[in-house]
Amino acid sequence: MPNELARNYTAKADDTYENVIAVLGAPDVLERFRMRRGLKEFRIELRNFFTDSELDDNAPMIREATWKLSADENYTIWFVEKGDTATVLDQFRWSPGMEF
Amino acid sequence: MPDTQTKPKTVNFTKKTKRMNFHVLGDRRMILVRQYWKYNYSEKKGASKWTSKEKKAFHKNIEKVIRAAWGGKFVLDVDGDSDFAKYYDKKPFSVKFDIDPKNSGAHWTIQAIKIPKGGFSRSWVNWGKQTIQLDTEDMVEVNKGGGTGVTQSGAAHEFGHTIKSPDEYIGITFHRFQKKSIMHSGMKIKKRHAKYLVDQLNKMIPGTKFKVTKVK
Repeated sequence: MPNELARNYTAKADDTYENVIAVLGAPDVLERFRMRRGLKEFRIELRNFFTDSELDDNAPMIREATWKLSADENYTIWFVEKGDTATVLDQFRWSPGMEF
Repeated sequence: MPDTQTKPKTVNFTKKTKRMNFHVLGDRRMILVRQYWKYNYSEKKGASKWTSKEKKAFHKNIEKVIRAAWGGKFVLDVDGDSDFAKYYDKKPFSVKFDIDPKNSGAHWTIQAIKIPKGGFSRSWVNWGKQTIQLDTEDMVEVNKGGGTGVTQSGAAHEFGHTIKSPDEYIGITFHRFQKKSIMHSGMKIKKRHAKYLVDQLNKMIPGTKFKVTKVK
């Protein structure tokens, strides 16, 4: 997807990973991790979506996809995996110059 | 035993930089690093509007956390062939930090976010743009994945970025195994966290070099 369109795109809550990459293309960086209490600053807002008991008992897997839109803008979307589906949980546009 | 070395006329020096001011205070054997912060305020969903009392308390508490974490930790020795270095040979200096709010001419612009108690908000520092984002829970020590009992306050960690210490939980150096480090997931200060400060101090007084000998 052209960067100009990507810059104006906002993933909708609960949209699927497949629908998002159909619009944005494959991410430049893709990571998967199990949701837990101890998260680094970059991911910390994901804690707002789960209770402590949800994190203690079979916490979900998270897919973290980042698109490098320009020299000054990255776009990260987090998807929560449920069975075979991954849906939008949270998103963040950030400058590569940021340190967390 | 009395000093054989004559005290130099000038023992205090100041260097102003884009991101902080350095004051070498010989009489107090102290290096004071001062930053001026300009605050912008906003609230996240679920949090009430900032009050003027809360804004003042926020700055006071952030500074308290930063000073507790970083203040007085670095011990510096002085070396060199200047009169200053010879006089202060074997007389160590300690490094203290001061953060003052300022509306114009500040070093850093702070986006202060009020969030619901117990909530989470991403904090960050952009060195190039001299901007910082902090939130009202950043004074609280929380689990950042450093292991049992290892916690970290966001404000103390982010301050490390303002003195040019990078994140240590990423990258290829062995620092990524030191989870208790304040630039990883804990609150432990290391000698290397003073590198930028020492590099700047070593440009201030001709014939004088500072070196971190220990962390208290």
